[in-house]
Amino acid sequence: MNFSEIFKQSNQLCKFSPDGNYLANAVQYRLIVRDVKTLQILNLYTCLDAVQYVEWSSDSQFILCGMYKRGLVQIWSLEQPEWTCKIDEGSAGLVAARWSPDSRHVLTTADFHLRITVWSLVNKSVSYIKYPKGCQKGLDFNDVNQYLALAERRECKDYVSIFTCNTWQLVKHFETSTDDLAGVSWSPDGRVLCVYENCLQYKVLLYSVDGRCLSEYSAYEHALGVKNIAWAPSSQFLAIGSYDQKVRILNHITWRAVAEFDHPSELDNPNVIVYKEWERRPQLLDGESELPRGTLFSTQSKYELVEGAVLIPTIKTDLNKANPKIGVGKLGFSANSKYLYTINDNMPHTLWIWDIQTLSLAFLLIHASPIKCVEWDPVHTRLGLATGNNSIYMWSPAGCLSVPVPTEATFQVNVLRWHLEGRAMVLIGKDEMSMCYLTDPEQQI
Amino acid sequence: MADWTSLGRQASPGTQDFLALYASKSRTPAHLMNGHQSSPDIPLQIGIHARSGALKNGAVSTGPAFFNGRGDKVDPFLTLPQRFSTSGNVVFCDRDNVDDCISYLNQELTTLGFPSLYHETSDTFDIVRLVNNTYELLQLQQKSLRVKEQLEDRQQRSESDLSHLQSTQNRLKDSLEQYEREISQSQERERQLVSKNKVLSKKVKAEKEEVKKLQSALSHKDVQYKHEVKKKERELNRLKDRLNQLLTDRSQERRIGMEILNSLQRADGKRSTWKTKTSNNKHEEDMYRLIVANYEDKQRELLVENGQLRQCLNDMQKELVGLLNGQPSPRKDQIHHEDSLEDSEDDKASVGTTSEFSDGYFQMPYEMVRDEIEKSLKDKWTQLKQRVRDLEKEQTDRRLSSESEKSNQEVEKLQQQILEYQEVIKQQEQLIQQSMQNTDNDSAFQDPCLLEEREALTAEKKLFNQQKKHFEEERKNFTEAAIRLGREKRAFEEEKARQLRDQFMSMTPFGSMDKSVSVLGSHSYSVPDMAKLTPANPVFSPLPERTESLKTPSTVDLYRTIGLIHDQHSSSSTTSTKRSPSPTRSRDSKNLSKSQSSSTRRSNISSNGRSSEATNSRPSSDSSQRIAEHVANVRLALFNKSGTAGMSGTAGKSGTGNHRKGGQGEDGGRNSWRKDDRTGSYGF
Repeated sequence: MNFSEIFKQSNQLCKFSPDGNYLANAVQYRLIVRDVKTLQILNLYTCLDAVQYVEWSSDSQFILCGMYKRGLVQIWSLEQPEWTCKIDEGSAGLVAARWSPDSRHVLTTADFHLRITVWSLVNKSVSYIKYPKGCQKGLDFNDVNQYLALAERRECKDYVSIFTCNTWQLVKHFETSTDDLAGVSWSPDGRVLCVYENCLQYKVLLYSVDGRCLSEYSAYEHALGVKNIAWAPSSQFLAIGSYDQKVRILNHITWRAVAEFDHPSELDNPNVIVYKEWERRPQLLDGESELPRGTLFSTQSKYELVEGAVLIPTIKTDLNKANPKIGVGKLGFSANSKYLYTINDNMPHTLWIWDIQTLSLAFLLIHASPIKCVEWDPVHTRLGLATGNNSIYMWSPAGCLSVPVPTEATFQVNVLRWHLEGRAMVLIGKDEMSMCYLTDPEQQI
Repeated sequence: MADWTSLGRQASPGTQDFLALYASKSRTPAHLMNGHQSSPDIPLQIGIHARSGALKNGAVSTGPAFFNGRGDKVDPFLTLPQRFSTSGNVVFCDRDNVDDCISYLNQELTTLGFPSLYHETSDTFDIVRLVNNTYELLQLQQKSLRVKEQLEDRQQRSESDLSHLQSTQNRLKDSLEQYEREISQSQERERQLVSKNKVLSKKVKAEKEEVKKLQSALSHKDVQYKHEVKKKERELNRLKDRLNQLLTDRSQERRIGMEILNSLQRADGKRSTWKTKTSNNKHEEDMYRLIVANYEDKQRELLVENGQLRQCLNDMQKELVGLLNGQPSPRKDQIHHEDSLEDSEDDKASVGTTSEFSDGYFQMPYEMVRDEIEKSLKDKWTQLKQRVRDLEKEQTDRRLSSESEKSNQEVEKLQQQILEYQEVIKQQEQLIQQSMQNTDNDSAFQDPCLLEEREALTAEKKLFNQQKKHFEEERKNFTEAAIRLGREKRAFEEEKARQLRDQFMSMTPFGSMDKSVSVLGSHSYSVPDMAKLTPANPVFSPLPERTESLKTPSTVDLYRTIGLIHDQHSSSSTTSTKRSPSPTRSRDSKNLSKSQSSSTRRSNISSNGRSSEATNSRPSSDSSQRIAEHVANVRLALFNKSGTAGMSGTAGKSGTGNHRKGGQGEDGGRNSWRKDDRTGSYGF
């Protein structure tokens, strides 16, 4: 496990290209593209303003930089550094920009979700999609079949429109039986579209591509409902995290719940392996009021196994406030769909890892500070997580580890992103980033 | 008392009647007691009445006294009491008035019903009569005294009774009062509770109403809110429309739009097509095609799943039928003594009816055959259950049977096993013969008509030879492995040196890019040339000791199932080799590879079968166990024989009977299981 030196970045904009060869990151108004393997700067582009958003096109040839404050999008080509493209939404404003999967169109969302503009880089044509709904996840591309599902709001009713991405033609338009739709999400195999209701009501609907309702699921009424959903990469499971601190897993045939995972604050189960992080802080010397900075003096942390009953640290939440910090807000399936991680938002220190094959809790990771970011390795069964300190943490079924990032300066990891092949990670702090290369298990032995 | 006096009055015409009455009354004290509440008065009353009766009678009877007329004008009745009273205890009669007295007495006595003192005829005084009368009077007196005593007794008793009863009454009165108080208390309490209840129920009702009101208010608000939201949304929509219009109107504005150096080719190189009706239709068609394809895929999946489930059902049925219909195992036959043999025959007879559906039956539409299948399965299960129960019973019976019989059975069983194993060995040997095509075959196998005992002996001998051969081969392998290890170590050292040199070179500004590219080409991310990399110091917390199975090639599920059985492994965990798979250690793992590989080899072998080392370390007293080991060895040898074709190096050279993989094969094996997703994730 090796770490690179620390580079500057801003707005935590560091992204691997989809082909895994490049790493783009923004530093103020500059966009830097590096080679992943050597970390050499391959290209440096200068944008018109501080970059707020960076996205690679799916063919890894172009990079889109969003400067929302000025309503601008700039696109850079990797092959032809002199090629320029600038999209200006002008007075309409800009809140979001994204690539279409064909890498030849850019979709920009105007202020107030007034419209979505599709800019063609092929023939400079511009088309508008009116009435998009401004919600949590109102737009989802189906990567398999190149369809776009878009949540719309017309005449105070929710609709979903399905567009083909190659011609931007509407192929299907249907009303959903929701009061206030919060998100749409394609299954990874592109066969099913999941539509879920705003948190005021627990309602999950599943539609086929042509808008036929396959199933409707509701676990309970009246209380706050769905917080987040996650598809298994195999498309065989849909996990729904909700405000009642539970995760429900639906199967892909009957769309009925196969399991309901609770997140109790006390756990006493000999079948669950509980790791707890112990921090060892160095002793303060006489006359020292604060610890000296640097790796040498930073706190050491280590996972230790805990036997017997565990009390899971819980934070008290004010339920009278809007969007209470309670319930399962983060969840994700491992690459082979065999494990599911969840984080209950009122237990931010704890990561729950569920075994999907036995439908039971398998591991519990309790950290000293709240978890900031969790991501599954896209290839292997392991995950990396960051808690906003100088260490990164990893888990695999064989055990877990914590690594302090070996740097001279302070580097607090807030976000980490896996490389496509699962052998490297980019660690992102507030204004800096670092690469972490993992030794390949097959090569090292 | 009143009726007593009335009685007295009624009885006044004849004192005898009174006396009789009195006597009769005195004879029935209970009646008397009942009739008169205050018994102490009775004697007094009697006395008075007697007196008054006497007076009256006297008054009446004075008449005859006057009529007797003895010339004495003195009323004897008046004078006599005087005299009686004045003279005290002295005289009623003196010599002067004897006659008077006698007549008086006579009079008195006659009134009292005694016979007259005078002769009826002669009218002369008869002393005998007087004596008789006196005697009778005395008797009477005594009697009345007795009665009096009795009455007094009774009265005393009654008095005590009365006092007792009075006290009881008082007590009862007290308790009654107490009870009444209690009753009133509880009544009060009840009243309070009832009133409280009333208040509460009123409250509940009020609350209910409140809830209802709130609910209606809530829904009202909800509706209102929705309405408001809709209104706002409409406004928003209008504004958006307006904004849109404005934007489109001013679209000629300087900035809006796209500045692009030169437009791009489409990714697929095609030109964009015109949007026409047909193209639109085509898209829709595409979509429906996709949907149909999706459904077909799904159906296929379901079909496969269904088929597998049907197959599973079929297999299960076959298993069940085989279990129920099948011959009892030879072992069982051996064990069975005569009674149980009969039993088993009975079983066979009863079980022989167990029917089996044909394979095709399970491919029929399920709803058609569902009832049948369910029924048959249920029948089989009940049969099986019965069988198991019988067996259990039999077992308990057998346990009761004598020890000697048991040992005999054991011997028989063992003999049978030996025979079986010998058979197996023979077959295996033949197989080896065929596969190895070895020339150095024992001649013993060319003679198939040997006695079993001799066969066993030869088998043993063969086994011994085999093991010896194994040992030799193993030794050879070891030496070869040692040599190879040395060679590898040298190679590694060289590589290390080269790498260090490369690293050094890359740190200098003259580091060649070509080299780095070549390194990258081989996907080695671990040592990027340009970057200044710093190794980290991870703290690894491996899974608890129960994950011992990690070292054996296991799938995730197997691991999980083992991991779930905590206790078994925690007990056996002490024997497992401890290994902390920290990357720092495994990076220079070449140095460690010897120890590590030996440990893994051991576990690897033990997973496949028992190694010969293990056999030798343990004195093989149990022949059957040895035979089993031998069988495992033979199997392994066969496996290796077939595997050597693909294997390189020593394993191939060592040829036949290499019961364990050589170092090369060993490494390959480890790598292959390292790819397993559980163990493969070591590389942090």
